Amino acid sequence: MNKMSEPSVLISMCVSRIVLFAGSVFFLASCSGSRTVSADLKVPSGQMVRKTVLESDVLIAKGSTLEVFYSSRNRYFVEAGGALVGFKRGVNQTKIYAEKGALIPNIESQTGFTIYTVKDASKSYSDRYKELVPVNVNPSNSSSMRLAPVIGVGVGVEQEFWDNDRNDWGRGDRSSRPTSVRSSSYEKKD
Amino acid sequence: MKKTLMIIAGIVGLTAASEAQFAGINGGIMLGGGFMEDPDKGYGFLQLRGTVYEDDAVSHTLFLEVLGHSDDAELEFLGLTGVPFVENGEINFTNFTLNYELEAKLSSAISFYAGAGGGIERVSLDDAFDFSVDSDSNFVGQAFAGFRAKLGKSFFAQVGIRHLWRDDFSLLADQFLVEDTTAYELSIGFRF
Repeated sequence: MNKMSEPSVLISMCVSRIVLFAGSVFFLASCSGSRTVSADLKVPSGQMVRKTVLESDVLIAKGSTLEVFYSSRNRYFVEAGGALVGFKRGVNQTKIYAEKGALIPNIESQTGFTIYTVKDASKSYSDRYKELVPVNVNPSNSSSMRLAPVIGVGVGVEQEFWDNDRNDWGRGDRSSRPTSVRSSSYEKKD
Repeated sequence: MKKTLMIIAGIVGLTAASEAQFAGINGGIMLGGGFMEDPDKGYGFLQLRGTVYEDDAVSHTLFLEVLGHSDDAELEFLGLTGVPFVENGEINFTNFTLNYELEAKLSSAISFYAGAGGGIERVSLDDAFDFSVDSDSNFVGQAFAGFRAKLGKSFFAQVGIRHLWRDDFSLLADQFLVEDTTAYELSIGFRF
């Protein structure tokens, strides 16, 4: 009798194939997914990132910390339990949309910030192109919004922002592209 | 899109490998890791294998391999005031190669293997957010050899050495010099 035809062998082969198939697909998916190119910048939950941020929109999730060296023309969206700290090298035209319970800089200690309190930072981040004002617009010039400055841990009132002119800002000039790169393992060609 | 294509390629490859024995080809999968001499870095790899001929003395195998390693980088940004800022980044290298392997059976449990292959090395520069800043693709070639031990009917383990021929790569405006390197590795596989 052919061994391959025994039911136990066939079942064993089927199970091993399914396990191998699922494991390998998961492996390939995880390899490619970790390097997915995206225009959205998010600080992964539970991690601390140190960075100079230029002309970007950044979501800081609950349990994560972003320490910024220098910030210019950025919008930060900070969830409750998220922390936005640093700014030792300066701040310019930076807006912070923070939930209650988010750790954000003290606005009195540094100029260059505008801080708003929002109900859902993650939703504000995902809807930012249709609901939030451009970073270079002075909030006092807009009659359709109410501002609630937040000092330290966020407190404030619920509010909504709307701007009809989406062309004031866009993805084309938001990227903070580096000018050069250095590697400890590879020498540059002269 | 890239992720979807990778998953589709994986499904097609694995389905083909798992059904291969019905076409006279025995499939296999191998997972391993090793250490390169230059640069001083560890790496990991996955092989999808198909043995096209096998007798008591030798076997001929073709396999697709994905090999990856990463390296630290420093990214320099120019601030609005003209002052440069530096932050940490990462350069990721992923090799996709097609390889041929000859296995010579020294005994019922031990065999010697050697082979060569070639393909593409994908170089990706990521910032602190894992946001891809720039990338490059170049040719990579390799030759390898080692010893393999059977572990039961389906599993096997091997220790080996490989030599990699890699091209220089470009990121942003810079060209980086790459030396050919030798690497040492351990891996475990499963035949089906």
